[in-house]
Amino acid sequence: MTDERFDALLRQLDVSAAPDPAFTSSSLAALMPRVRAARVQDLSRLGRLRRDLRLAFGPASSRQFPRATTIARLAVLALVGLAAAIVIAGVLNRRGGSENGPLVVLAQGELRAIDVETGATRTILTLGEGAGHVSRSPDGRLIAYWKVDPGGDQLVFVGIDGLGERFVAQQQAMTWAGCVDNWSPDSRYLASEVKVDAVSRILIADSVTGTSRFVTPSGVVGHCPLWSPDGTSIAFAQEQPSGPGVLAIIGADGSDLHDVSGDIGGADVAGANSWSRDGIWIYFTSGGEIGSIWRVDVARRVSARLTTFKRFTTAVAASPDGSLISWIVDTPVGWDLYIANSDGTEPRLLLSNALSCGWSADGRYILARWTPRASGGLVVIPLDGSERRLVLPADRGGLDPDEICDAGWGQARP
Amino acid sequence: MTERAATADGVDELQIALSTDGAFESWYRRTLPRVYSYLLSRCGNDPALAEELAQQTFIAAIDRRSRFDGRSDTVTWLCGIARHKLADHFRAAEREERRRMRLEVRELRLSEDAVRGPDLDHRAAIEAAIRSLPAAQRAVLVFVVLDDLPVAEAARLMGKSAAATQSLLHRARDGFRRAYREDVADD
Repeated sequence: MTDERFDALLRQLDVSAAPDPAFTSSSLAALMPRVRAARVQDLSRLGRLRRDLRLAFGPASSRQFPRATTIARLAVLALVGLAAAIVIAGVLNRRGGSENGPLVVLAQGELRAIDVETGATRTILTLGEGAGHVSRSPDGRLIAYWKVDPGGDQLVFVGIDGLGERFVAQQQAMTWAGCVDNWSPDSRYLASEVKVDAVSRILIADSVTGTSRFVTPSGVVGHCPLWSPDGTSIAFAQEQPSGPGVLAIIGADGSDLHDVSGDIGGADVAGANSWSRDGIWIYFTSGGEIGSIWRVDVARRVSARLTTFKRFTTAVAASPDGSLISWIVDTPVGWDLYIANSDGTEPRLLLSNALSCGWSADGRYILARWTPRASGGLVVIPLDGSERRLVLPADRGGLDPDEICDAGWGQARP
Repeated sequence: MTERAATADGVDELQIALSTDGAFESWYRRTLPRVYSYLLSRCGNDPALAEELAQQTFIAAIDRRSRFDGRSDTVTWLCGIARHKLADHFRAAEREERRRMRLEVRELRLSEDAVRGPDLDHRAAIEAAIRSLPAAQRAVLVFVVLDDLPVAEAARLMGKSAAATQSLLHRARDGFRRAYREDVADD
């Protein structure tokens, strides 16, 4: 059965139907008190003012009012950044050995640390059901994960040793929205896309104070945040009131929101994936039936499409030194993992039936979810041409079939 | 008509609907069937579930009336809210399935009154095939095929990455093909 035939079959379900008259009456009666309360509220002076403002400054103008930035906030941010840099330097000096640190994986409700060089695995913490979306800080000291709760998802930080679990204070009920969380380069802040009242916003959580705040203004719908290499800004895909989404950048303090994607021929930006270490390029993907890989020169706001595959192409990730990029291509039998030069030239197939989970910090490996017909699991693929290493088998490791890689290695993950 | 004027008209329509009990009842009776139809065909033809989600949709619409900007008509706006309610339902169902560690095949009964299609047996086979899929796969088919949303937008609604959603769509189509063939063969 072709996809067209399949879609036509499914669309036969789309027919009109009349609700039960008894339901119509009972639900109408149940709604009336709420309608009356709304009416009273709207007739108040405040309600009228709100409506007038909405009409005056609504979608026809679509203006953004960036939040004022206080000098004190910047000073505190600078001090915090300095302190964090000192801490990171200390940790890096102590760590020695592998630059990559442990690969943190969530499987069968357990947080596990895996040394990909030796294959040694240890259990960090048992989280049980309802935990997921793991990420690890670049300095290797902290892990973040989300816990599903009936009142809204809860963000949690915990040390790499499983100690010091800390629930982040959240002022509103929210749910994790599906994009991989991204750590600031100083390993202090975590940027997440969350849904509040069904609207996607970018949340910044502070692992030191355990507090959180929204960086995007309430009227801005944002997806898939990405920290700049200097930790001062966040790039994200911004939905537009009309027309396709754009790639936007906002200061970490919520100031200076602006579009950087430039002319991308009407493509819809799906998310910011990778920011080159020198700060020049952001690699991003466009959505739609045929997703593509792009990169933009941030300062010049000029974008270039890097892939021209006829198939859906997504999950771009730049190597830490900026010389290579990886992406995946949808094929009739699964995903193919490619690498190419950073400008998209010389693409070559790295592994079939594999979904990319990003680069190691030293740029020697790509982590992937390998999905051949039998076995498979999480693998590290050395870029030197040596044999890939299965670090967590899917069958014995208890990997979630619907999660590509619930794992953190301290790098931006596509 | 200018965009500002269209916006004002749309907002006024909602404002008028809320202005008196009679106006609300008239608006509700006009819009409910379309919202209900939208939901019923996307939730496995389960009238109770469609009613529950329709009720939630109107409650949310009243509570969030200040966010209606008039760029679309109110029914389109209501269906947008309904889609989010549907996504919440699928996510909850998916969580429940994972908890039980097995696929849940719901025994939903077709409402003869609700069906208006010309080929009931054929539609029943399609619905049975859909219902046999896990919640996440049902969701991706509803959003991508029935609602014609881009994969990225469906991914956002479902709280998954675009790549995971594309992969899920593959599995859903494969699963549907298998289930549909089996169902037709059984008949």
